[in-house]
Amino acid sequence: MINPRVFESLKAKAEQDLAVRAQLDALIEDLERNVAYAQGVLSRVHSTPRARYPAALLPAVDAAVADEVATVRALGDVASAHPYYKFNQRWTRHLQDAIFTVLLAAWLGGVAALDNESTKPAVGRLLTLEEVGAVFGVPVEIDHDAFHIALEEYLSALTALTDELGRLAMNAVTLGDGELAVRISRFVKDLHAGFQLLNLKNDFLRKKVDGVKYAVKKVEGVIYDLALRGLLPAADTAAETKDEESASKSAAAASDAGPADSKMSEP
Amino acid sequence: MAPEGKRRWQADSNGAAGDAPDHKKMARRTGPPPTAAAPTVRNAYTAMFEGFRDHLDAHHDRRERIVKASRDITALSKKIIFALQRVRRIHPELPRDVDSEVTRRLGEIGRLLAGIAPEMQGINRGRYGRVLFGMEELLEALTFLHYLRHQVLLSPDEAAEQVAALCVEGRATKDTKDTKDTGDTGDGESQNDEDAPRIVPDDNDFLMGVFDLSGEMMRFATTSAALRGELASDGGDGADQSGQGRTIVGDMQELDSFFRMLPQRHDKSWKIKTQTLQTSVQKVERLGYDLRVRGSERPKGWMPDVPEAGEAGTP
Repeated sequence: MINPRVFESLKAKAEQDLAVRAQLDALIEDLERNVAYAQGVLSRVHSTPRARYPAALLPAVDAAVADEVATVRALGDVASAHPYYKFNQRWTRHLQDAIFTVLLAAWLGGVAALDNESTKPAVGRLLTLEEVGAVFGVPVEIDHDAFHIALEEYLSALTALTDELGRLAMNAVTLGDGELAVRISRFVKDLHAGFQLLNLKNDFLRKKVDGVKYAVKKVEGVIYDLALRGLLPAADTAAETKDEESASKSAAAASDAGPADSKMSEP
Repeated sequence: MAPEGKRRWQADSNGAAGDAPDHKKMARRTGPPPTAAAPTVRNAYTAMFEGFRDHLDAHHDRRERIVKASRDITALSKKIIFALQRVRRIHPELPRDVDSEVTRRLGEIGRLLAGIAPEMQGINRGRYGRVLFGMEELLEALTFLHYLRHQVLLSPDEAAEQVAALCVEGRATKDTKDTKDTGDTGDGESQNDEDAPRIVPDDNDFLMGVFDLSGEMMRFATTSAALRGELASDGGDGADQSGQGRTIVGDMQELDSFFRMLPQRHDKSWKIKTQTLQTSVQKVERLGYDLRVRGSERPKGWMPDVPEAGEAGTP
């Protein structure tokens, strides 16, 4: 009934798949380790005053990101030899986490390779999808079959960023930096408004985006506590914040920026 | 700036109804202070997210179209299998009514495949591969059809050729219908089959389809035994049971060995289908045993004596 060549062919293909899977899994394990380390380094942001980011935090963060980038490129070289969607489930979660670490590092002023244009690290910069691709040295959202960073992975990393910044807002207040909390609040609410533009289906991405509103609630609670006790930063400091934020926004390549909603965040 | 802002907001409002309440709230809040500029919900990242929205919408729409086609392909494939189950013996030629129904259903499947083939090229083949669950059912139907004709398992390469041929024929039929609908018979589109987009099943589709084939073979074996009193095989009507010719029991056992010898996978569907396959094999084995044991109690075709009503007793 069954032609022996059919069996031999299917067996060979299955064994080849197993070998590729083992090779990818080794690299993914390296990536997982690098991501865990980078997340550990970034977790020190919760105990580091903002003034000490450049000296005490960002060099270690940039070094950790460099390790991630090397692993992702090696993974990309191996993965590009095979259909992308055949194996992408194996690395997509770890790649999301890696993208999150890069987004948070850049938001804090890190990822030195990007700052060729200006020597001064700016807090509050959001990397676009293309900029994330440039950091890792891999393409984004392509139509030919090769390793790339998918839009869903970037959006998922953005939701993780809002969670982490929500936590940072609280810890910034603990460290006496109310202005950073105000900035985080404005940023998280802007992202939430952006997410609300998406017509999401009931898939994993929607579950993640639905969690963003809790980050918004958290940062608004922080601002409320500050406002209630008269701990909000002074107006001139807020003015400086606006200027820096405008520069950061233009750097983020977002066009047609409307007036900032500063009134909403500062009742 | 202001007019552009207004126009953009209106565009957003049309696209996403959820934005309207935000606008109302903002309008209410900004009412008391005298503000010349119109309120806006745009921020530094709105343009970026609008691009993301367009991208995700295109992706979801494409996926929805493939899901719909996949459901129809599944339903049509099941109808083909039901028609094939009405066949009573393994023979190169099918009964005429079954053959015509199968041909018609395959034509419809071809048109569905041709409809989604342009969106299933390159990287999209893998992206929506799981969504195209109808392919498994189609391969089950094609392998069952091939088995009933030749008592041989269709090879993956032959299956791929048949599915690709369905796409090409479906596109030709579809183009003909489209031409008739538009009434533009003068439009001479070159039917270059070499360039027609095709969908080919991958190995997973094939293996899952063959797993399902075992269930249909079990059903066919049971029906054949019940109606004809013998195990299905491609031997002549007068074939005896003395080891000549292969029966469906041996074929089922060979199928079971085939899957056991392949490198095993650890996903849930493989385990479930393997278990189901082994259950089917045992059912058919018991069928063979029963026919062998109970069938030997009487000669073939023997009927109990029925005395005629008008006759006297036999001597």
